Amino acid sequence: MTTNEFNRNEFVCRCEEVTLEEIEKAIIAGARSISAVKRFTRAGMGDCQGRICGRLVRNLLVKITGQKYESFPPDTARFPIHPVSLSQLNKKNK
Amino acid sequence: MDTQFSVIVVGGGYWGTSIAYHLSDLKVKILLVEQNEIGHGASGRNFGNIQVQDMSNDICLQLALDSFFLWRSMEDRLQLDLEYRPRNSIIYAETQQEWDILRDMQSGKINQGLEVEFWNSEQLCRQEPFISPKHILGATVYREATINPFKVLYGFARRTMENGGVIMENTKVVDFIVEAGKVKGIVTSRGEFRSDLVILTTGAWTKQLARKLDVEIPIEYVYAEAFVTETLPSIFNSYFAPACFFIEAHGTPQVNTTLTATQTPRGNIIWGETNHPSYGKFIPDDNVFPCSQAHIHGIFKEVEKYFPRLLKENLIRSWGVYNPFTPDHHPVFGYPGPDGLMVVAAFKSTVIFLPVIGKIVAELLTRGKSSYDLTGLTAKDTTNSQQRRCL
Repeated sequence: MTTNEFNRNEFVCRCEEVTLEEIEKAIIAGARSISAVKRFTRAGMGDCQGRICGRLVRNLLVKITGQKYESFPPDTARFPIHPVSLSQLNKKNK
Repeated sequence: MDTQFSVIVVGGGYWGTSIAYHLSDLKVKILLVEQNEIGHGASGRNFGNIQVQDMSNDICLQLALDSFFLWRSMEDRLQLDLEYRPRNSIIYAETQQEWDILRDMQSGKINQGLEVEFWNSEQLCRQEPFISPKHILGATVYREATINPFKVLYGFARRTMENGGVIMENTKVVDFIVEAGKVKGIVTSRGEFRSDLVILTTGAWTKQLARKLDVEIPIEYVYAEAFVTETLPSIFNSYFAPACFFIEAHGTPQVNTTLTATQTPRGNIIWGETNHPSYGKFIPDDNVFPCSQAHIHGIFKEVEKYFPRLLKENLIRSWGVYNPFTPDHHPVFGYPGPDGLMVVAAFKSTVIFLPVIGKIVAELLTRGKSSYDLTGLTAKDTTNSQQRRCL
């Protein structure tokens, strides 16, 4: 199944401006997880760390590979849970 | 599924994908297995630096200079964009003692062809205005380069598969096949695979894996942490590391933070590195890479010292990595155990050596000898005082 019905130049990851076409190419080239798509394309590396695009990438993985949704667990979340400066962190740490 | 190969490479990081590529390019029948995904370990968690000026001995420096030359044509060779970018590497000294040692060490390398420059703090600030010169006496500078780790890893992997190599991710080695004292293959979570040679390129996991063969490999690891900022305008174009990093990072038993910093082509600044030594412990299976209080506090102090104007920039992610090293800082490269087993791991810097070591391994396996004299590259086995069977 392809995603012809969408504009393939649309951004899936708005933070890093990664298009649908780029993500499709990554999956076809062998990226088989959300984190692999991230490493291939940078989708999910921006300020939102995949909060917006993660689910979209997951849906694309399902559509293109034909595997179940459960086969693609979300990427691992890491500290910090929202953007924060070293100054703010240091104040909170004290 | 084919289960017979000429060479099985275990570990899908820089070494594994590079060696698999170099061998597959010579039509060697290759299987590469990786317990997680390509680049899951240290190879997918680094700055992508092609480092030359921090080499610690003569043979390493010569190999590094040759390999640096090979890197310049790697994009052409692979016909891929690896985001290869020339960039200054700056090692700076904070104390007079560090500056004296650094100058002495680097002066010796000039005679071997390393055209390193010596900058005072004023020159440093002219080139890199965001650095605070208060704590810097001087720096040695060399024009090195950087690549995108993922493009290199996936580039090597892609070309390996195009050359007929097989790559299996999410395939864990649980044991080895040994017959008449020789390693003849691996037992994995997806079945048995046989070969004439098994090459371990498993970094920090090498020690625990080799113990399945009763082979003791003296590779320890530090758990290292870094932060990534949001994308910013171009602020600096160098890789910064303090001279003390090369002494303290893996040399002390305590948690320590020494600042290494760079800005990616995309604009993210990476602040590293807090190191937690872990002598003797095996890596946990939990896939958790926590961010420690020591890292938050340590990085704040270092950035406040050297880049105070950047304290207010937002961090968006932390990452952790298990960095392998040997206590004597010599790599493990050779045949340290039964016939049929090779190990390539724990080089102090990895990216720089990928082309030349890939070439050497290919020479060894196809011609039986290398065009390089590797005397002095590896060292004595410190666990039982015998010379390791090394190249």
